[in-house]
Amino acid sequence: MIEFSDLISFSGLMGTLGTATIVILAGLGCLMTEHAGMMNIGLDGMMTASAFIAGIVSWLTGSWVYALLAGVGSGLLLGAFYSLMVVRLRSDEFVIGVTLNMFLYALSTFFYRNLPAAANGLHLEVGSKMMVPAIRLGGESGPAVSVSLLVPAALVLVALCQVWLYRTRQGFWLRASGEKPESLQSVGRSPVRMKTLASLLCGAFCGLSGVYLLNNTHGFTEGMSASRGYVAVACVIFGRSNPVLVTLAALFFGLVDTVGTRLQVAGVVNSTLTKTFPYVGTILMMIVLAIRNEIKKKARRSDLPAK
Amino acid sequence: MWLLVLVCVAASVLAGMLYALIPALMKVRLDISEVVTTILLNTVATTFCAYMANGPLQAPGRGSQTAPILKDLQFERFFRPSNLSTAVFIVAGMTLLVWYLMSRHVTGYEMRMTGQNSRFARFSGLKDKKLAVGGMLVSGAICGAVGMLEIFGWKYSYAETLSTDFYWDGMLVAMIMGYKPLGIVLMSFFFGILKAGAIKIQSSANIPSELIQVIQSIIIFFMAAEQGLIQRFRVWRARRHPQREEAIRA
Repeated sequence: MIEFSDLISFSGLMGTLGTATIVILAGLGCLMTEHAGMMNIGLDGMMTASAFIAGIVSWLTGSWVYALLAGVGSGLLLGAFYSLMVVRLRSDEFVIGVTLNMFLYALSTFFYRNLPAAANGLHLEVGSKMMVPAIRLGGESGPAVSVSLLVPAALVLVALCQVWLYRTRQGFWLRASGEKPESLQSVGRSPVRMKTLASLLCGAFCGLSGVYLLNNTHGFTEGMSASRGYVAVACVIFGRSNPVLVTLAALFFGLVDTVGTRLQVAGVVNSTLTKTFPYVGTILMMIVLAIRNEIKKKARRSDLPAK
Repeated sequence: MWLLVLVCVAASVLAGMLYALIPALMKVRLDISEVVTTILLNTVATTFCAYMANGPLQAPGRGSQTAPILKDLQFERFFRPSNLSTAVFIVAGMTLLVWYLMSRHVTGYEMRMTGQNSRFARFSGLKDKKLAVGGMLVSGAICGAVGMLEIFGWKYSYAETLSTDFYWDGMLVAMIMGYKPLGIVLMSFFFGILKAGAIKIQSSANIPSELIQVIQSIIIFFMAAEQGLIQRFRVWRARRHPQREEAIRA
């Protein structure tokens, strides 16, 4: 039987945070484009492609710095492609997102299968030296947990995004480019430029998320993103594109995911079935929050005539 | 036997409708984006069915597959090597029905109006929420029927994955052809040719079928950007030959 105290323990919380970080980073990217008035469904493909390129570079150079740079760089390139298609050529963002997923998944799988390293045992492994360094936490009172540096970095990035979006001029322009491009134009700023910036940021965050994904699974495998990009989109939508709320949503996803994994390890539930947990959990959470909002709205409405 | 097939059709259609009802109600009642809920529900359903095919419904000695359906229930095949079966008539019938509903019937007009401008539709007295739920139900019913044809038409048993790329392909085809039923049929044939070719190429020339997916996505990229590219080209030409452009216009 599963020990629930174990889940609340330090290592349990760190596991939750670790799983959530993938979604947090991708979510940060998605909310940038969401604020700029575009819905990017292509996060999943962007993550997979960046993870693949980061994996190849770390394998070739043996250095995590290059891998990180390559991952973020490829993310930036993909963001540039997305902005070219959606912002400049005005194609449907949804079509581009879905096709981007298909395209990048197929492309990375194709190259991965033809990789000389992958010929023996289809697994592009990344050694511990090639990974982003981890810090060890705890140890004195409980078991030590090593956490990749990218996890605290992601939390710092959340805070930075929150401040940048709501407290600076650039952030204000970015939000305006999505909500009312005309007003942005009337103060002499180009909405196209802000939208391009948002796509580039989205690509960079997805690249970072891909690098972390690679670190988390110690190597590249086909379909490694496991539609977490879509979960990130879900988190962004019902976190109303607010970085902190999106992070909370992602943490919830991570918690359900960890509970699922623990149940699976404990052998209570079938391993395939536990994979549905995070998705069902996310949907249920959306329903509960929406119903609560509805009730609040109704309460406010019934208050009005009394005044 | 025909009765049994009809029961199967009814069950699969009902299953599709019920599963489509969840995002539809969430959209109409709670205003939750249907884009996200449907994508998440996709993962839930495929994973759950994989679990069923691997666990409770797994046929002994068949890997992660269910037991094959009865021979009498399978749709007749025309030419042996091809997997084309009589199911194609049902698909043709459904296409005609959808075409009639969407382009020749009042309901289709009302649906399109609601989709384009739901506020305008509401003010002109249409029940936009009912139409939205109805649209979702019909789409769920069609998808349920397609899933059933997939099994009864040529696969004959449920393997771990059934439709992983079919739903994305279908959605992309519909979006690119601007939701016109007959255009969708033509484009689907094109995609079908690519897919069938991919399988043949993979087996004969050992070229991975992912390459076809790459080509397919590049085609879609260009089709999606078509309008934008044409416009860019016009602007560029006008800048290069201002006089000629004026001469053409005059």
